[in-house]
Amino acid sequence: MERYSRNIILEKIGLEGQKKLLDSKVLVAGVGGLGSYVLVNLAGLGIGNIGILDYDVIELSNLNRQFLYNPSQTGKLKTEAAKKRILKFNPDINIETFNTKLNESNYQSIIEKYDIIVDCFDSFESKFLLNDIAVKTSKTLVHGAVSEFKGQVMTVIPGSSACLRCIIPYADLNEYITKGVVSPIVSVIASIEALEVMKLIMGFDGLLTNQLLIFDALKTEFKKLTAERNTNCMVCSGEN
Amino acid sequence: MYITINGQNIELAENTTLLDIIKKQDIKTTLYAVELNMKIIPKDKFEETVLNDKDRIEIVHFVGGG
Repeated sequence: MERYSRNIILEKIGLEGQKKLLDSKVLVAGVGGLGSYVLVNLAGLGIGNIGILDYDVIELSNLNRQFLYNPSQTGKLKTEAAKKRILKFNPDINIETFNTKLNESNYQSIIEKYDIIVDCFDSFESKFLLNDIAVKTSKTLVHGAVSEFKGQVMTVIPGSSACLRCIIPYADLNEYITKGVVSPIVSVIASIEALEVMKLIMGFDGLLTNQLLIFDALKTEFKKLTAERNTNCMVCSGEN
Repeated sequence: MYITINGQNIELAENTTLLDIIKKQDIKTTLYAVELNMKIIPKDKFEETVLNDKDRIEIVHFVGGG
Protein backbone atom coordinates (compact mmCIF):
# COMPACT_ATOMS: atom_id res chain seq x y z
CA MET A 1 0.00 0.00 0.00
CA GLU A 2 3.02 2.28 0.43
CA ARG A 3 3.02 3.15 -3.27
CA TYR A 4 -0.54 4.46 -2.95
CA SER A 5 0.09 6.58 0.15
CA ARG A 6 -0.47 9.86 -1.74
CA ASN A 7 -3.83 8.52 -2.93
CA ILE A 8 -4.76 7.26 0.51
CA ILE A 9 -3.99 10.49 2.37
CA LEU A 10 -6.65 12.17 0.28
CA GLU A 11 -9.68 12.36 2.51
CA LYS A 12 -12.00 11.53 -0.36
CA ILE A 13 -10.09 8.32 -1.14
CA GLY A 14 -8.59 6.91 2.05
CA LEU A 15 -7.79 3.22 2.55
CA GLU A 16 -11.32 2.12 1.72
CA GLY A 17 -11.26 4.05 -1.50
CA GLN A 18 -7.90 2.61 -2.47
CA LYS A 19 -9.29 -0.88 -1.89
CA LYS A 20 -12.17 -0.02 -4.23
CA LEU A 21 -9.69 1.06 -6.88
CA LEU A 22 -7.65 -2.12 -6.42
CA ASP A 23 -10.78 -4.27 -6.73
CA SER A 24 -12.02 -2.55 -9.89
CA LYS A 25 -11.99 -3.97 -13.42
CA VAL A 26 -11.43 -1.62 -16.32
CA LEU A 27 -10.99 -2.37 -20.02
CA VAL A 28 -8.85 -0.02 -22.08
CA ALA A 29 -10.10 -0.30 -25.65
CA GLY A 30 -7.23 0.71 -27.89
CA VAL A 31 -3.68 1.25 -26.73
CA GLY A 32 -2.44 3.92 -29.09
CA GLY A 33 -2.13 7.54 -27.99
CA LEU A 34 -5.09 7.83 -25.62
CA GLY A 35 -4.61 4.27 -24.40
CA SER A 36 -0.95 4.88 -23.50
CA TYR A 37 -1.78 7.79 -21.20
CA VAL A 38 -4.97 6.21 -19.84
CA LEU A 39 -3.06 3.04 -18.92
CA VAL A 40 -0.33 4.79 -17.00
CA ASN A 41 -2.91 6.86 -15.12
CA LEU A 42 -4.97 3.78 -14.24
CA ALA A 43 -1.83 1.94 -13.10
CA GLY A 44 -0.88 4.93 -10.96
CA LEU A 45 -4.34 5.05 -9.40
CA GLY A 46 -4.01 1.36 -8.61
CA ILE A 47 -6.83 0.02 -10.76
CA GLY A 48 -6.30 -3.62 -9.82
CA ASN A 49 -7.55 -5.37 -12.94
CA ILE A 50 -6.94 -3.87 -16.35
CA GLY A 51 -7.75 -5.32 -19.75
CA ILE A 52 -5.94 -4.07 -22.85
CA LEU A 53 -7.66 -4.55 -26.18
CA ASP A 54 -5.88 -3.86 -29.48
CA TYR A 55 -4.79 -5.75 -32.58
CA ASP A 56 -2.28 -3.28 -33.92
CA VAL A 57 1.50 -3.36 -34.03
CA ILE A 58 3.90 -0.58 -33.14
CA GLU A 59 4.96 1.76 -35.96
CA LEU A 60 7.53 4.52 -35.91
CA SER A 61 4.83 7.10 -36.70
CA ASN A 62 3.16 6.23 -33.36
CA LEU A 63 6.08 7.52 -31.36
CA ASN A 64 5.18 11.22 -31.36
CA ARG A 65 2.57 10.36 -28.72
CA GLN A 66 2.55 6.67 -27.76
CA PHE A 67 5.26 6.86 -25.14
CA LEU A 68 4.83 3.30 -23.87
CA TYR A 69 6.80 2.09 -26.86
CA ASN A 70 10.29 2.60 -28.25
CA PRO A 71 11.82 2.40 -31.73
CA SER A 72 13.29 -1.08 -31.19
CA GLN A 73 9.75 -2.46 -30.76
CA THR A 74 8.38 -1.62 -34.20
CA GLY A 75 6.33 -4.48 -35.61
CA LYS A 76 5.57 -5.89 -32.15
CA LEU A 77 2.05 -6.15 -30.71
CA LYS A 78 1.02 -3.05 -28.80
CA THR A 79 -0.90 -5.03 -26.18
CA GLU A 80 2.11 -7.09 -25.14
CA ALA A 81 4.54 -4.17 -25.20
CA ALA A 82 2.12 -2.04 -23.16
CA LYS A 83 1.55 -4.79 -20.61
CA LYS A 84 5.30 -5.26 -20.14
CA ARG A 85 5.91 -1.54 -19.70
CA ILE A 86 3.00 -0.95 -17.33
CA LEU A 87 3.87 -3.97 -15.17
CA LYS A 88 7.37 -2.53 -14.72
CA PHE A 89 5.77 0.64 -13.39
CA ASN A 90 3.26 -1.20 -11.21
CA PRO A 91 3.91 -4.94 -10.80
CA ASP A 92 1.08 -5.36 -8.29
CA ILE A 93 -1.84 -5.07 -10.71
CA ASN A 94 -3.34 -7.68 -13.03
CA ILE A 95 -3.26 -7.03 -16.74
CA GLU A 96 -4.96 -9.19 -19.34
CA THR A 97 -4.39 -8.63 -23.04
CA PHE A 98 -6.77 -9.20 -25.95
CA ASN A 99 -4.91 -9.23 -29.26
CA THR A 100 -7.94 -8.99 -31.46
CA LYS A 101 -10.20 -6.59 -33.30
CA LEU A 102 -13.46 -6.06 -31.45
CA ASN A 103 -16.51 -7.15 -33.42
CA GLU A 104 -20.11 -8.21 -33.00
CA SER A 105 -19.19 -11.86 -32.49
CA ASN A 106 -16.30 -11.64 -30.00
CA TYR A 107 -17.29 -8.78 -27.70
CA GLN A 108 -19.03 -10.77 -25.01
CA SER A 109 -16.04 -12.85 -23.91
CA ILE A 110 -13.87 -9.71 -23.78
CA ILE A 111 -16.23 -7.24 -22.15
CA GLU A 112 -17.99 -9.41 -19.59
CA LYS A 113 -15.05 -9.33 -17.16
CA TYR A 114 -14.99 -5.55 -16.85
CA ASP A 115 -17.18 -2.93 -15.20
CA ILE A 116 -15.96 0.11 -17.09
CA ILE A 117 -14.75 0.46 -20.68
CA VAL A 118 -12.47 3.33 -21.70
CA ASP A 119 -12.75 4.29 -25.35
CA CYS A 120 -9.28 4.89 -26.70
CA PHE A 121 -10.03 3.55 -30.17
CA ASP A 122 -8.84 5.46 -33.20
CA SER A 123 -11.72 5.49 -35.69
CA PHE A 124 -15.33 6.57 -35.77
CA GLU A 125 -16.34 3.08 -36.82
CA SER A 126 -14.71 1.42 -33.80
CA LYS A 127 -15.89 4.14 -31.42
CA PHE A 128 -19.53 3.83 -32.42
CA LEU A 129 -19.30 0.01 -32.37
CA LEU A 130 -17.93 0.24 -28.81
CA ASN A 131 -20.75 2.62 -27.84
CA ASP A 132 -23.34 0.20 -29.22
CA ILE A 133 -21.74 -2.78 -27.44
CA ALA A 134 -21.48 -0.88 -24.15
CA VAL A 135 -25.19 -0.03 -24.30
CA LYS A 136 -26.10 -3.61 -25.26
CA THR A 137 -24.08 -5.06 -22.37
CA SER A 138 -24.96 -2.27 -19.88
CA LYS A 139 -21.31 -1.43 -19.30
CA THR A 140 -20.31 2.10 -18.42
CA LEU A 141 -18.32 3.72 -21.21
CA VAL A 142 -15.89 6.59 -20.93
CA HIS A 143 -15.64 7.97 -24.45
CA GLY A 144 -12.67 10.05 -25.51
CA ALA A 145 -11.37 11.17 -28.89
CA VAL A 146 -8.69 13.44 -30.28
CA SER A 147 -7.70 14.93 -33.61
CA GLU A 148 -5.38 17.74 -34.54
CA PHE A 149 -5.64 20.20 -31.61
CA LYS A 150 -9.08 19.16 -30.36
CA GLY A 151 -10.56 16.50 -28.16
CA GLN A 152 -13.77 15.43 -26.50
CA VAL A 153 -14.88 13.30 -23.55
CA MET A 154 -18.28 11.97 -22.52
CA THR A 155 -19.28 9.27 -20.05
CA VAL A 156 -22.15 6.97 -20.99
CA ILE A 157 -24.10 5.09 -18.34
CA PRO A 158 -26.43 2.93 -20.43
CA GLY A 159 -30.09 3.33 -19.55
CA SER A 160 -29.35 6.46 -17.56
CA SER A 161 -27.42 8.96 -19.69
CA ALA A 162 -27.06 9.95 -23.33
CA CYS A 163 -24.97 7.71 -25.58
CA LEU A 164 -22.95 8.75 -28.64
CA ARG A 165 -25.82 7.85 -30.95
CA CYS A 166 -28.13 10.20 -29.05
CA ILE A 167 -25.85 12.99 -30.24
CA ILE A 168 -24.87 11.72 -33.68
CA PRO A 169 -27.48 9.22 -34.87
CA TYR A 170 -26.73 9.12 -38.56
CA ALA A 171 -23.10 9.34 -39.49
CA ASP A 172 -20.97 8.08 -42.31
CA LEU A 173 -18.48 6.17 -40.18
CA ASN A 174 -16.12 5.69 -43.10
CA GLU A 175 -15.43 9.41 -43.23
CA TYR A 176 -12.26 9.03 -41.23
CA ILE A 177 -9.17 10.48 -42.79
CA THR A 178 -5.84 10.19 -40.99
CA LYS A 179 -5.13 13.54 -39.44
CA GLY A 180 -2.28 14.77 -37.36
CA VAL A 181 -2.37 14.97 -33.59
CA VAL A 182 0.12 16.17 -31.00
CA SER A 183 1.01 14.43 -27.76
CA PRO A 184 -0.15 17.13 -25.29
CA ILE A 185 -3.76 17.12 -26.54
CA VAL A 186 -3.77 13.33 -26.31
CA SER A 187 -2.53 13.40 -22.72
CA VAL A 188 -5.10 16.05 -21.69
CA ILE A 189 -8.02 14.03 -23.02
CA ALA A 190 -6.65 10.71 -21.72
CA SER A 191 -6.15 12.20 -18.25
CA ILE A 192 -9.75 13.40 -18.20
CA GLU A 193 -10.86 9.90 -19.22
CA ALA A 194 -8.83 8.39 -16.36
CA LEU A 195 -10.38 10.92 -13.94
CA GLU A 196 -13.83 9.81 -15.09
CA VAL A 197 -12.86 6.20 -14.30
CA MET A 198 -11.69 7.25 -10.83
CA LYS A 199 -14.91 9.20 -10.19
CA LEU A 200 -17.06 6.31 -11.33
CA ILE A 201 -15.30 3.83 -9.04
CA MET A 202 -15.25 6.19 -6.08
CA GLY A 203 -18.84 7.31 -6.58
CA PHE A 204 -17.82 10.96 -6.88
CA ASP A 205 -20.10 13.58 -8.41
CA GLY A 206 -19.14 15.70 -11.38
CA LEU A 207 -19.20 12.99 -14.02
CA LEU A 208 -19.39 13.91 -17.67
CA THR A 209 -22.72 12.14 -18.07
CA ASN A 210 -25.22 13.96 -20.27
CA GLN A 211 -22.38 16.34 -21.01
CA LEU A 212 -19.96 16.47 -23.88
CA LEU A 213 -16.70 18.09 -22.85
CA ILE A 214 -14.89 19.68 -25.75
CA PHE A 215 -11.33 20.94 -25.52
CA ASP A 216 -9.79 23.27 -28.06
CA ALA A 217 -6.08 23.38 -27.34
CA LEU A 218 -5.33 26.31 -29.65
CA LYS A 219 -7.86 28.49 -27.84
CA THR A 220 -7.10 26.80 -24.48
CA GLU A 221 -10.85 26.54 -24.12
CA PHE A 222 -12.97 23.88 -22.44
CA LYS A 223 -16.67 23.77 -23.25
CA LYS A 224 -19.21 21.57 -21.52
CA LEU A 225 -22.28 21.03 -23.66
CA THR A 226 -25.46 19.56 -22.29
CA ALA A 227 -26.62 16.40 -24.06
CA GLU A 228 -29.87 14.65 -23.32
CA ARG A 229 -30.93 11.10 -23.97
CA ASN A 230 -32.78 11.02 -27.25
CA THR A 231 -36.08 9.20 -26.85
CA ASN A 232 -35.73 8.12 -30.47
CA CYS A 233 -32.11 6.93 -30.13
CA MET A 234 -31.53 3.92 -32.37
CA VAL A 235 -29.25 2.34 -29.78
CA CYS A 236 -30.24 3.28 -26.24
CA SER A 237 -33.90 4.32 -26.36
CA GLY A 238 -35.04 0.84 -25.25
CA GLU A 239 -32.60 0.71 -22.31
CA ASN A 240 -33.78 1.55 -18.82
CA MET B 1 -34.39 38.96 -34.62
CA TYR B 2 -30.67 38.33 -34.44
CA ILE B 3 -28.86 35.10 -33.66
CA THR B 4 -25.19 34.11 -33.56
CA ILE B 5 -23.97 31.13 -35.54
CA ASN B 6 -20.32 30.11 -35.24
CA GLY B 7 -19.52 33.54 -33.84
CA GLN B 8 -21.26 35.50 -36.59
CA ASN B 9 -24.34 37.63 -35.99
CA ILE B 10 -27.12 37.20 -38.54
CA GLU B 11 -30.62 38.55 -38.88
CA LEU B 12 -33.43 36.02 -39.19
CA ALA B 13 -37.17 36.12 -39.76
CA GLU B 14 -39.42 35.15 -36.86
CA ASN B 15 -40.29 31.44 -36.65
CA THR B 16 -37.09 30.33 -38.37
CA THR B 17 -36.26 26.77 -37.30
CA LEU B 18 -32.91 25.24 -36.53
CA LEU B 19 -33.34 23.06 -39.63
CA ASP B 20 -33.79 26.16 -41.82
CA ILE B 21 -30.50 27.61 -40.65
CA ILE B 22 -28.51 24.35 -40.67
CA LYS B 23 -29.57 23.64 -44.26
CA LYS B 24 -27.91 26.90 -45.30
CA GLN B 25 -24.56 25.93 -43.78
CA ASP B 26 -21.95 24.25 -45.92
CA ILE B 27 -21.29 21.30 -43.61
CA LYS B 28 -19.02 18.80 -45.30
CA THR B 29 -19.33 16.00 -42.74
CA THR B 30 -22.03 13.87 -41.14
CA LEU B 31 -20.01 13.76 -37.91
CA TYR B 32 -21.19 16.94 -36.30
CA ALA B 33 -23.49 18.03 -33.54
CA VAL B 34 -25.39 21.28 -33.25
CA GLU B 35 -25.21 23.21 -30.03
CA LEU B 36 -27.92 25.75 -29.24
CA ASN B 37 -27.17 27.86 -26.16
CA MET B 38 -24.70 25.21 -24.87
CA LYS B 39 -27.15 22.35 -25.36
CA ILE B 40 -26.81 19.69 -28.05
CA ILE B 41 -29.95 19.38 -30.15
CA PRO B 42 -30.50 15.94 -31.74
CA LYS B 43 -30.82 16.08 -35.53
CA ASP B 44 -34.38 14.79 -35.47
CA LYS B 45 -35.36 17.80 -33.35
CA PHE B 46 -33.99 20.45 -35.73
CA GLU B 47 -37.31 20.94 -37.48
CA GLU B 48 -39.33 21.46 -34.34
CA THR B 49 -36.76 23.79 -32.75
CA VAL B 50 -37.85 27.37 -33.41
CA LEU B 51 -35.10 29.92 -32.92
CA ASN B 52 -35.37 32.93 -30.64
CA ASP B 53 -33.71 36.32 -30.57
CA LYS B 54 -30.11 36.19 -29.22
CA ASP B 55 -29.81 32.43 -29.63
CA ARG B 56 -26.26 31.17 -30.02
CA ILE B 57 -25.59 28.25 -32.34
CA GLU B 58 -22.31 26.40 -32.85
CA ILE B 59 -21.63 23.54 -35.19
CA VAL B 60 -19.43 21.16 -33.27
CA HIS B 61 -17.26 18.79 -35.27
CA PHE B 62 -16.89 15.41 -33.64
CA VAL B 63 -13.35 14.06 -33.64
CA GLY B 64 -12.59 10.37 -33.90
CA GLY B 65 -8.89 9.75 -33.36
CA GLY B 66 -7.26 7.98 -30.48
